[in-house]
Amino acid sequence: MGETWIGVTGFYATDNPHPGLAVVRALRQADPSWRILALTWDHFSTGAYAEGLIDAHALIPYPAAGPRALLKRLETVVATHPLDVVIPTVDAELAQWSAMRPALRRLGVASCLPTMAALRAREKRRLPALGRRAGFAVPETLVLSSPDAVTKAAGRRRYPQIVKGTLVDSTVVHTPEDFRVAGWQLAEEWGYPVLAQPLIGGEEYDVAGVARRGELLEAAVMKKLAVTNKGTAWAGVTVEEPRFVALLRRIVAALRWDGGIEAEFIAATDGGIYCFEINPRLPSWIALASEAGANLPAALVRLAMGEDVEPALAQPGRLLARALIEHTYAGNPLAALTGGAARRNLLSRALASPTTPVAGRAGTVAITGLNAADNPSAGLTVGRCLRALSPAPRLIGLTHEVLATGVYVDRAWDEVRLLPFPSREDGGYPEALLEQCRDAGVDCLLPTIDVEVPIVTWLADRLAAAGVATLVPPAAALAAAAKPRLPGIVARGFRVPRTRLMATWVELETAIEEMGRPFMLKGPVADAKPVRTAEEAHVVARRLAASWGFPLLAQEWIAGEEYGVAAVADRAHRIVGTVVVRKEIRSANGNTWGGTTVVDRSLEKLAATFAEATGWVGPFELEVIRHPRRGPFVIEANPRFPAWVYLSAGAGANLPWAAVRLARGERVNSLRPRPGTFYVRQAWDAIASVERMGALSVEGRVDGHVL
Amino acid sequence: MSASAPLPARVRFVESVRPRFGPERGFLFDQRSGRVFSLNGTGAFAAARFHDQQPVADVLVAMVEAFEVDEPVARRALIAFVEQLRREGVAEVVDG
Repeated sequence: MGETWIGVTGFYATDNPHPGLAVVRALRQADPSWRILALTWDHFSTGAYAEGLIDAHALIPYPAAGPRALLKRLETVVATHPLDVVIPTVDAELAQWSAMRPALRRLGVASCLPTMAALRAREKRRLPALGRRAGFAVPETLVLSSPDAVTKAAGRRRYPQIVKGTLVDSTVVHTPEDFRVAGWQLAEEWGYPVLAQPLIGGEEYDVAGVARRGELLEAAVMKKLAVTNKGTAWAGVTVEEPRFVALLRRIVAALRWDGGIEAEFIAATDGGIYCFEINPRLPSWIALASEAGANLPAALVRLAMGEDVEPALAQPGRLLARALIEHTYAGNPLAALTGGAARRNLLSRALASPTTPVAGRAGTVAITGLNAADNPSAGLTVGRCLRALSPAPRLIGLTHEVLATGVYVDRAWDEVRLLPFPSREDGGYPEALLEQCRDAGVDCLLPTIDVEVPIVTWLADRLAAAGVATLVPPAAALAAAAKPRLPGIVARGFRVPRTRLMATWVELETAIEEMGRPFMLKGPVADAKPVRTAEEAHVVARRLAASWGFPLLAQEWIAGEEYGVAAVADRAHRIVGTVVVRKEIRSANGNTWGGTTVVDRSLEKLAATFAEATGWVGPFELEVIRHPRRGPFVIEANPRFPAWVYLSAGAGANLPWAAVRLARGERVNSLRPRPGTFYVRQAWDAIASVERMGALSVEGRVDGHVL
Repeated sequence: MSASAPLPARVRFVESVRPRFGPERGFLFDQRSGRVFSLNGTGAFAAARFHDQQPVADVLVAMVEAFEVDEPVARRALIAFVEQLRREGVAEVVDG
């Protein structure tokens, strides 16, 4: 028998990932001889760059192009490349694939997909009716089909509510104004209707299953331990709770479901269980199920091929921690992917090795900032840069969160140690930091969280006395680069967007008058959102103030290409290396998930001027927008490495290693990154036993080998 | 709650609980509900002894000794702790 080629869709693997990459992981685990054809929409699908997991690629049209365009493209793919089975994983395209089932059979492509009737019956707006039919509770659901309906409903609801897009996405709202803005924003993104449900307090569980003609064959139940602000789990654990499996069994029977499915439940504090969503495909956390003994994607392939599937249920106690994985390539390997034909082996040939030989001692380096979830800190990526050294230093991860997702990435660290929350005064952070560094034999510390950097600056002498080298900016430099004071660097020759500092709500009204539309609203430490109307500005300002306090910043909108400039300055404020990335793949919150190194002397000069003007020492990042006429604007200055700094290793200019050597007082020659190096990062579910979380919580340290 | 409130004989963790105890902290994972509980040093001290099936009265004596607290204070804390474990569904009281 020849190779089995499985086509998988859904490779947007950023902060709210599609399930495609997790499905591919599970398939690889089930049968390494299976071949994977990534059916990707575009070059922005970061999961499609998963070297070692994907054998071939083909472009397929966006769902908006309709089923005819998809079928036409598939005919071209099948004419040039084997395709035995297909697993679509994106809500927006499921109806098209379902409608194409006869055509797929004609093309010789097997699938296991629900009928159109089943798909419709589980839609968010029809869920209450399904609940009545199948005997499960659904939160009261209001279907709003127009802006007027949203406005009218806003005044009549009891808060808090959760407002949902018709396909995906949701926002928790607390006031009528908040409700209206969320409704309009979601409708703009996903169309009408939008839906509103009361926010029910309780604990959330997801159940994934694979069914054939209404019979549930395999299932996995995950309790969400932590969620993003969109409600997506970034940490969870498999459980053996049979009530949820029984509910899913009822749902698939009522729908006579075929294929993968996910139902989301809330176990309310009043004792009730409510189903608030049914998704018509396997979820993005499905790699967890396969690690827990229920390989649902593999079952789906076998069902599609007409084989028998033994019932299976995921075992309890496997922990999911959504982190990230990164690759660097000598140029974008998918740039060659055009037209309809499938292409093989695009990834492996293009890999850019991050390996850096080390002449002297590698030592022991401690790194903070291990949470690498939807808005990742830089600790994991800095660690990976140092892992790429040959030989690599011993790496100690320092975390103040037991659930920091980078803790659960296998072999990222030699050891992980727990610290109290960073603070100068309360909770003993300074003493614990010193003690842990001493105890672990650390000779260099790289902080990567903004709030930690000033504390390490304050502690630098005591750390040095304990034999721990650091390379951190002086307090005055940190103050000059802080968000509220950044506009002050205009006097030193930098271009910064027109900015208004707002300490009160009255000043927000002035800013709304002055700034024009759209403009940016920013928190004092982190977070930024574009706003287009006065009402949206009020809502966003309230959310930012609730999270970060005052002062808020209103900033002129600058249109242009975005760049990140990462650099390291020595103790004489001279730059030893600068890496400039043109940001090509960004998430909605502005994080960089893909980009290419460029040689841009003006941006390199900007970094050098910044270090000199502020008296900077150590790593920093400048976020820059290059306006086509007005030139580069500094949007933000961050006092640590960016979360894309792994690119520096792939481009041959390992900035974290330069920082370690400078901290130790060694001489570092000027680094020159290779232009054209392409960087991509993917949301990646690290999977471990829940005992690892217990061990870190109880013993305060764990080794780097994740089981 | 009076200082002389009766203690249960023993406390037993339910089968679905996977515990871990150290000198300063403890951790309980209920594999049925997926809930995780962090215990401070005192909680870990008592819970570890429950797990070893020690009588609650002996646990109370050990607590008084180890933490140098008055017996009524320790008794009240221990009863409240047992009640919390029971309410969260992770432990059962075994009398007699």
